[in-house]
This record gives sequence, structure tokens and C-alpha cells, in this order.
Amino acid sequence: VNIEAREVFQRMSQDELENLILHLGRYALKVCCKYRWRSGNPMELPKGETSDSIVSKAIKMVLDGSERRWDPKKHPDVTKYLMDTLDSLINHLANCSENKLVKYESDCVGNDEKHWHTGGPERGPTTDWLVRQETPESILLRKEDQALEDLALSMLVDSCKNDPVLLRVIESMQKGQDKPAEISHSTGIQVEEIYNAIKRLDRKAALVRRRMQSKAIDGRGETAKRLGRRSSS
Amino acid sequence: LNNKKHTTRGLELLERINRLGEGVEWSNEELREALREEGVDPENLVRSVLSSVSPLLSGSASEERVTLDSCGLDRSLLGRLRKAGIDRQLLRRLPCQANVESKSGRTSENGPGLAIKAAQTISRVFGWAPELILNPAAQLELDPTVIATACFKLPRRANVQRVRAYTVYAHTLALILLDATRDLPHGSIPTSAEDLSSDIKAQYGSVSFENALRYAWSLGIPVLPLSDSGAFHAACWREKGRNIIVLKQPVRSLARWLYDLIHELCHAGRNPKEPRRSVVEYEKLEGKRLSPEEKEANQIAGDVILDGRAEQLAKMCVVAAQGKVEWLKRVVPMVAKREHVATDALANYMAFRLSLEGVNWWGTATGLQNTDVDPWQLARNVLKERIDFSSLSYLDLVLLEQALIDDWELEA
Repeated sequence: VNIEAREVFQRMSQDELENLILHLGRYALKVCCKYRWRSGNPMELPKGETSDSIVSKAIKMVLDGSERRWDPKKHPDVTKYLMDTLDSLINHLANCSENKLVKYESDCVGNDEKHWHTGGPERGPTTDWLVRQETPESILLRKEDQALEDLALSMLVDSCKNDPVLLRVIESMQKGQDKPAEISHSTGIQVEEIYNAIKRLDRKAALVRRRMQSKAIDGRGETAKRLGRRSSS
Repeated sequence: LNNKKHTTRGLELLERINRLGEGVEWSNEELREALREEGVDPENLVRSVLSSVSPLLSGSASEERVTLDSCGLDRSLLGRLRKAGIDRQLLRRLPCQANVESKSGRTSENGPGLAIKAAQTISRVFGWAPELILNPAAQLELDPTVIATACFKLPRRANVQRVRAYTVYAHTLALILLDATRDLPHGSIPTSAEDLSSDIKAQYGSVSFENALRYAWSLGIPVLPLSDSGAFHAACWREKGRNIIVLKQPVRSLARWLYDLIHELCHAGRNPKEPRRSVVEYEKLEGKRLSPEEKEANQIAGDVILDGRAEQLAKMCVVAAQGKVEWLKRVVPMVAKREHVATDALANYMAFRLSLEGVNWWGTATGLQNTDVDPWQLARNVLKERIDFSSLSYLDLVLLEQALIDDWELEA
């Protein structure tokens, strides 16, 4: 048992502990929505896990300290540490063999293209020629990507159409403002109201994400594959 | 240069919103609502996670923590501590400093090293210099300034030394808690039953133990719940103008704890200009031995809990019982039901009222208490919400944590 971790948990009041669990539950669901799952449901994960059980697993790992030793001096924020643990657990599940029915074409691409895109060490006149030219298929995929982006944006805007404050916040974020104070400055709305708007917007965004997932599942076509591929990459 | 990243991409925007949402503080209710919208039952989530991790969480904090009753102190020191009133029950509450090192990887010490570490803890709690504790010829005397004002009402049959030692221990905990709550706001305490009752109702809606508890904290008065048996059942100390209440009632009934809390709040409101004060409640004493301040505090507690009708209800009970004490046990629940008040609250007031006439009815009143909800746990949870643990030294932190473990857990 990681005594320090347990003492941190024991020091929490019931309300604080519940807040942590609810927060992690919601975070796990958000992370799960970014991946493609063979079950088609982000709450039903491979190996019999669920979004609830994965939260328990993350907390247990921190408490028992056997697989992942939490060092409060290195990572003073236990919530952040648990979120990282969830990221790692969910990523692991998404990439496990049980979740992989097929390999996407893009997964078969070697490192050369990756290095070109990331400006890796091999970039140079000798490797530039390795980057593939656009093909009719890649053009189609790019268009599909764009369609997904448009769909997400229109669903988000549509879900906020009755809340003018949210529409102004979205507009400000599109312009690149990504901090509450900046959004407040650019919209002229009090920062306290921005905090409340962010919570409302976050809830709308989570629903949009879920609806995008179910649309993708219903289609079971390229869109589903693209969503899964994009998220896991 | 405008280095802000404009975007028209929907998925990118969703990601940015996600990151912003992570940086905002969400209340439990907001999180519950959001989860419900997303198709998750929040109650089920909390229940399932808690039941799954509770075996790891509920492992007693003392499991790895070495305490002075079991760390192998030499017999001579144990004997001297016992003489000073520090028995095994109290030693279980005192962590051995050696454990601080063992947590960081070093092995536990024994022999002289252990005695020095133990002396540091004893010194912190009882104020004796470590050299005095380690000197086999020295006698250990408790701090008279803490116990002098406190022990004036001690019953004859009490183990005086033990009660004194426990009082000094609880006083040290009270000082630690005051230190960890120094940022609490400071409010004035109403001195009449009407004002106290209307204040609690105005802020929290009704007079219940939890509401009164939160009310006390809102006035800047920390409430420390302890679970050891014996010694005293409640205390109110004031240090440098700040009050603190200790509740230690062995009867785990909301009504009894509410009664004690309101009673102690009355003491806390007395003589506000005195920077230092000490009231320690030992056993329930008979009326003739009660001081006027005690009588008044009991009367106010009864009136606050019974909505100003304490005396009227007590008379109703006496009339219904035709003046026979032995009938009261049956009559009190009937009157409580008819008058829409809690049976246990009325029973407590009756016990106090009868004590003024030399009748000890506290035992029967205890039998009429509702013990479904544990007030000690409730008080501990509220304390954990309000306290700033990070402001404490490690020794103070473990002393306080060890004090907040339920008595039966230590036995287990």
C-alpha cells in the first residue's frame, strides 16, 4: 500500500472524495469517447471494463502502489496524476488486441512519412522523395475529415443556438482565445459568467462528442474508421 | 504578431472546450447533472467506485503507523507514563516519530533511538522536555494551567490522573486544530436561545446536528469529535480569543450530540472579551452541583432544540405521567409524538430537568435515543472539509489523524 496516497485519500472529506470520483468518471468518459471501441459503446470497454471500473482501477493503482508508484513530491496534484493514469489505462485498452478487428491502412505507413510530418531527424533531401503524393483516395479521406469537422462545428453551434453567451464564447475561441480571462476580455462578459458558460459549453461539447460517436457507429463506414483513427493518433 | 491559433475546425474546438472545462471547478451537483446528461448514473458511479476501493482506503491509518502502545517502549518509561495518567488507551493515540523515517525508506529504530523518538511525541502532547521524559528518576507532572480550571467538577470516583492526562491530550489536539483553521472567519455568538435558534434557521433552514455543526464552523469555531471512552464528554476552550469545541459523547445519538453542541456554543458565547477560557464537562452532574452557567447552557440547549417549548413540554410530560418518574419512559415518546418534536431531544431535556430535582434520568434518556446516524462520523466529515491539513507539521498531522480514527478501529 502506498501510505502517502492512502493518507491523502483519508484526509479527504466525503464530499471531496465524491467530487474526485465524479470528476474522474466524467474525464474517463470523455477520454473513452475519443477512441473507437469494438463494442460501439464508450462505456463498454474491452476486457470487461467499463468507464466506472476503469476509475476504480486507476484509484486502486495509485493506492496499492504496485504498478504505478505515486510520488507526491514529483506530482503534488493527485487528481492530475489520476487523470494521467486514466489516459494511460484507456489508451492501453484501445490498443489492445481485443479492441483491434482490423488494421487501418494508415497504421501500415512506415516512419518515413511520420518523420516528414513531424520534422524528424530523417527529414532532408534524401528522404523527402519518400512522402507519398496525394492520391484520389487520400483526397477523399481529406474531404471526409473536413466533413467531420464541419459536422462537429454545426452540431456544437446548433446545440448552443438558444444561449447567446455560449455563441459568443465559441466565436471568441474560434479566434484563438483559450483562457477564461482572454475570452472575458474579448467578449466583454464578466469572467465569473465565463466560468459558468465554460461549464455549460463543456456539457454541450460532451454531448456532441457522444452524438458524433453514435453517428459514426450507425454509419459503420469510413466515418467510423476515420473518427477512431484520428482520435487514437 | 498574433500568435493565437484561429480555428474553424469543429473537432479542434471540441478539444479546446474540453481543456477549458478541465480547468474549471465543478461542484458535485454540477458533475452529477453533467454525468446524467451523458447517460451515466452518478450515484451508481460513486457507489461502485467506493465499494471497490474501500478495502484499500479503510485499512486503518494506524495499520502501518507505529503507536506508543506497541513500539516496545521500556517498562520503566511505561510505568512513569502510567503514573502520570497516560494509560495504554491513550498511548494508542500517540504515533511514534520513528514511523516518519520508516515511511521514507529507513528501517524502524529500537532501543535508545526509539525512546528518543517516542519522547518527541510525548513532549509535543504533554509539554515535558524530552530529557525529563528520558530521565528515569524524574517525575512527570501534567501542565497545571490546562487542568487547574478544568477539573473543578470532577466526580469522586473518576481516575483523576487519567482524566487529567486525557484532558491535556485533548487540549493539545484543540490547539493543533485551531492552528490548522486559523483562516476561518470570526463571528459573534448569540447568547439567547431565540437568537441562536433563529440564526441557525436563517442560515441552514432548521435546527439539526449537522446544521448546528456547520453554523459553529461558520462562526469560526472548529468542532473536534473524539471517540475515546471515559474522561469528559464535551469541552470548550478559548485560546487567544478563538473558541474551539470538543465533543466526545459516548452515546452516538444526533439529539445528544446536538444538545452538547448547543450547550458548548453557549459557553463559547460567554465573556467574549476573555482571551482564554476553559470549560470541560465531565459526567452529567446532579442539579445542585451545577453552576448557574451550566444550568443556563442546558436551558438554552433545550429551548433551541425544542423550539422554545422545553419547559412547557417537560410540564406536559410530568402531567401525563401523573408525577411518577417510572411512567416517564412511556410518556415522553407519546408527548413527543403528539407535539411533533423528536423523542430523543425531549428525553434529553427531561433528563436535565429531572437532574435539577436530584433525579438521575440520563440512563433512561439514553435508551430513548435514535442512533441510526453516527454524529461522530458526521462531525469528522465536516471537520475534514474545513481543515487545512497542509499547514500542519508532520507530527501534528499524524497526531490529529490518529485522533480522528474511531475507537473500535483502533481496537480492531
